[in-house]
Amino acid sequence: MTRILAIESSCDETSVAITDNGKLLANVVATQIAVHEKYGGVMPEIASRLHTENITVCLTEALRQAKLKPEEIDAFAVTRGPGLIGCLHVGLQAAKTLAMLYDKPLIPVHHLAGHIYANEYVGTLKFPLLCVVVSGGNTELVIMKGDLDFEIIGETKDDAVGECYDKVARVLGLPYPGGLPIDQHAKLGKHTYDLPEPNAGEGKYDFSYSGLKTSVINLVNSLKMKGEPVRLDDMARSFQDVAIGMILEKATRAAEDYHVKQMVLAGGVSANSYLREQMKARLEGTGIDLIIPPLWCTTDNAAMIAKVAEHLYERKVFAPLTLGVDPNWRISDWAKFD
Amino acid sequence: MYSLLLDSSNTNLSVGLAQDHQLIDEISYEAWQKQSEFMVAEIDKLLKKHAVQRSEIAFVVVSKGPGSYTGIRIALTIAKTIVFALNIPLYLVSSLQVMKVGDKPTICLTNARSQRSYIGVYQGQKEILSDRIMDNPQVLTYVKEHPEYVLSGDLGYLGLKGETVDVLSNLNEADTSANLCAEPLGARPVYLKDSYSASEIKIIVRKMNSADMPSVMRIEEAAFKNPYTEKQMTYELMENPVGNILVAVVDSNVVGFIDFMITFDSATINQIAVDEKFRKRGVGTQLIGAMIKTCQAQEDEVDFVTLEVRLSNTNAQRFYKKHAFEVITTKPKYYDDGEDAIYMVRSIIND
Repeated sequence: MTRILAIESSCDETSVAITDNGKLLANVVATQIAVHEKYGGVMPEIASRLHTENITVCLTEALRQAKLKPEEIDAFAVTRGPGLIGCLHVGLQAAKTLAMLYDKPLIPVHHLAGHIYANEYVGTLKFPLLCVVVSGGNTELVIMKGDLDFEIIGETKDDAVGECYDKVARVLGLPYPGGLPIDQHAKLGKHTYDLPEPNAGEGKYDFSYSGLKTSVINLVNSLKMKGEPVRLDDMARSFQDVAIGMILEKATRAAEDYHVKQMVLAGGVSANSYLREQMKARLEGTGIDLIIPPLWCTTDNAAMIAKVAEHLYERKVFAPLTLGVDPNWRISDWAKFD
Repeated sequence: MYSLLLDSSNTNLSVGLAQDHQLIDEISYEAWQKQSEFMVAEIDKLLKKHAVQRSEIAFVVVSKGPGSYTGIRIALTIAKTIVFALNIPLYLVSSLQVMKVGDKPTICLTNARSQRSYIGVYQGQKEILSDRIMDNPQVLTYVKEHPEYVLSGDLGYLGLKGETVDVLSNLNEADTSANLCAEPLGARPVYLKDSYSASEIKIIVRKMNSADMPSVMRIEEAAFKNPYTEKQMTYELMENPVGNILVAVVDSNVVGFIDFMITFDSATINQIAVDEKFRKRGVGTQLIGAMIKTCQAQEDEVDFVTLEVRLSNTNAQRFYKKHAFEVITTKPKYYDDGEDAIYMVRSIIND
């Protein structure tokens, strides 16, 4: 019997989850989206404040749902990075305090490993696998040859794809976060606007989104200057085709090159319906298995952190109480936290 | 019966252990930006050293701010987690009050940056001046007017000398009924410099686009003696290769803008203006902040920002001084109508 309590506070969700031998007993998420909506993006200082306010409320609720007392927990896990530094500090203090009080192991977890392992709630990982990590903070292709064996083969050279969605949504007057509204409008539109596919430079599997964002902004501005209306649905469709097209293209190429058995989508942008449908279509008949995470796993939550922590617990990857956060932690360095 | 005393509101990390109200051990050292790593480990050390079981901890006292935002969150999050887990009382005390010197009336000060201080005046448990944020010149005046009060804190930044502070002794006597936190689960720090929740309006700063032109011209014409024409403004927006215009938006209306140029290692503010109805509500501050952020995001490092302001425009000069601009020189007959300009500069790295 291993009971793990995990805490996630890397961005704009405060979350506490409890698992018992892999079974999810509680996954409490206090979301801040409504607050950050007003600013059109996550405001780090405000996010840190809300984590501080919410953290013990989430802990109480998670233990209540799991019908457990803190002394019945075997290990305390926490997201150590990557993420917003001020936000990470809050979850870290709570996890360290609990580990100290109950003299139990402290498990440092990489946030992206969490997004990848979230898929274990719906399927079994088969190696070698390609993980497509697409979110507000990340756009990465990760090859896994075995459990906890991560190799980044491609990543964004500038903005993350989710960040690009949020910014384009802002230009088009759509709400934050921008993923869902753009996806919805794109379904109604046609690809009529010419947006050049950004060049990500030398890396075969690398991405670039800052140029695409600028192209949309310039196009919208020049239309407004000419007094021409912006056809919202068509603009959303044209943008989405290019933004998601780049992911489809590079991910399928990498899947072939690395002869993977399985492809896994992870991160907030994996909720995108066009990405899900198209990836399914492209992999049909290739023999490559596709795992699509359930929608609740595409946003940040502590259940996914607990899932990685189970693997780390088995390997006894424990941290001292002097553990610090690392806002730029690389996934391949998941075992280095000194 | 033991109690834990915690403070990380400033540059120090302080942890104290009291037994039946007697401070029996303490750890206190300079740990600027290291409190996140070391505070829990230091608490652990103290508890283990004195073989204190968690069930023997009766309550926690923590300083709640004002001070370093991250610092106060660290001690408070630890304190909240302990009292949640052990179901014991939490006492919150002003991080200025814990700087008082014995029972002497004390002016407690810490550096709030941007030429401001957090100030509170205390005598024992009595509050003489409640915690607030004050411009440093005003602080110096207050200090001069109250020679009977002692000073405490690290006051080199004001050119003053404060008495040494015994934070842990002060925390040890702060478990008063007034400081008892009614709802420790939702406890939050005191930030004071709270432009987010204090201002009732929500201000968004973003890049200007051409659709904003009518609003920007309306503000321009109302604010300046010799306003730009729409043609000049359009050039700034669309063509000037080093030009940047940011607008402040409240409820989807443009209420202010800042127009600045970035040339290599410096930036120059051409114009900043706020709709009269929205002045003195933090719009200008947000615009300056966004400009600094833009400068920091440049690939080539921008080191300083310059500007010229009319000699007669003392309001604007005061605004700029508040935002860390310093007067460098006067440029005689700078403006077309013969008025002198005050030339002001600030470095990008200020706080």
